[in-house]
Amino acid sequence: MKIEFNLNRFIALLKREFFVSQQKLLLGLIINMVFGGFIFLLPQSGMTNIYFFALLFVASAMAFNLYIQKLSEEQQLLLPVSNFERFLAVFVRSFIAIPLMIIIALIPGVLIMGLLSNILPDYIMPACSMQDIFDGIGRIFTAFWYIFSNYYSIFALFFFGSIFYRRYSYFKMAILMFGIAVFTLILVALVFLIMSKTFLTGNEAYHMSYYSHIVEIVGTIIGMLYSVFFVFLAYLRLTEREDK
Amino acid sequence: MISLTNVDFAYKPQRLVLDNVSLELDKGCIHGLLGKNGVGKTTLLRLISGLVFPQSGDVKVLDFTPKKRQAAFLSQIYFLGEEFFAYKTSIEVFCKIQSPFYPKFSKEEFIQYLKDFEIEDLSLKMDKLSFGTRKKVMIAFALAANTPLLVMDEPTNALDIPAKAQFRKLVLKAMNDDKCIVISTHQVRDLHNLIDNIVILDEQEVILNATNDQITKKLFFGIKGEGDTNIIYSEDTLAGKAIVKENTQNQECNLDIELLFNAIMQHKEEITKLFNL
Repeated sequence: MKIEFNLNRFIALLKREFFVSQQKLLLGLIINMVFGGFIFLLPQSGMTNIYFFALLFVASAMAFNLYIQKLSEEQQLLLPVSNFERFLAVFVRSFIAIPLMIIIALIPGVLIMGLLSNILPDYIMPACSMQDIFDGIGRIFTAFWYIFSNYYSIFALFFFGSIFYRRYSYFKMAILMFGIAVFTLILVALVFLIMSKTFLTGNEAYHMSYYSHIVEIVGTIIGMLYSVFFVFLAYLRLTEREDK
Repeated sequence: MISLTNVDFAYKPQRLVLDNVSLELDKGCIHGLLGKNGVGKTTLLRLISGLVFPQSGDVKVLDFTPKKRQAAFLSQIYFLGEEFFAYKTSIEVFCKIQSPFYPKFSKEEFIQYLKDFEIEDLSLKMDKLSFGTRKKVMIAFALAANTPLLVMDEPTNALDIPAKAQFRKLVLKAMNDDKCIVISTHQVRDLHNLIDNIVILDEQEVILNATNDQITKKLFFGIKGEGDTNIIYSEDTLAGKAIVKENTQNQECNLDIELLFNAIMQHKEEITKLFNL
């Protein structure tokens, strides 16, 4: 498998992708500024995690959208770039450019909503202090990192699903994810069982904390392997893509 | 330039669209790909462009294998589909974002082709244009891309009558000895005086691949006169009975594509035998 890469061509491709989807992107960023700004000012950090999870989920699950729609698919596949450049452009857009733009748009969003809260009546939005605004901006980074580092394998799975299935990809991927989760749990339980029988005896409480530590490490490794595997599968799928 | 060898293709198993098709198309020619609806003209063009892959057989275009979709190959071919994506940008921006991928693209030519189609304002939004006008923009871009191979699927669909005539002029203007243009259509009149070589597809196979000269050497097209023999096909017209007959006396005549197409659809074996197919 020969990989072709030309920087100028790749930059031209990124520019093109931006122009093709600029209207949707700008609309999304404006909604993100207003809605996200409001959410990140709220003290309940659970909402911020859900918010980022939803955004990253949509960005990954719709990554190959232009390759799914009948007419744009033809344009995308015939563009004089290599398969690798095509794939990398989608990957960069979904996992780097869009999250970065979301974060950058959220900072002024929080600031504007924070300032607006002092003008609006309290029953619409309680007034925020400068400290609340800074806390809100801080939450952007912590929530993003928490979601990104914990759920990357799910995003990778839906990223693959967006090129693998033409229809109902979310639903099919959800079923696949459930299957993978069950398989992983069985796998981890087996590792857990073998290790406990083989190496560990004595204090149960100590063992439980030891086991959970092992489970965490094994889970992280499996998650990373799944992610690389699904991202690679998405690449292979793109190279074999036919506009039928 | 284009070579297909024993190509089979099916969208669904057991339902072949192309069956053991072999075909050679050279540069320096405008090839007309003709056939009834659903015979596989578009599929053949998509195989050439690398949009679909053959189940068996070999496709070579400009010494590349289209299936690999190498950037060097794709920059030398422009495929203009019957329908296309409506960019939500102005014509100017469309040109700006699409042209860097085609090394021989000429903006001057693009603007000139647009003017020839009576489109002067480049700030017009592509998605707000009528389908026919959008098609004119796409044709202008395809010609200005100056790729060695230009593949057009039903390019005259949705064009108005003056634009169809303009299309023929522009294609001839853009053509040179290093280029190869393949145009598929089921509206054979639109290709009148445009194509040099005719490829006819029927029932999953190529039943004719011959230049205009080769055809008129073997077949005579004209109005029935007294003493005409060897008539293969005839149809009534206002001018009289139009006939296709074997050209045994090397008579000069003008190729009538529509008559040829109708004749070959009804007398396939008789005509293909003349061309040793």
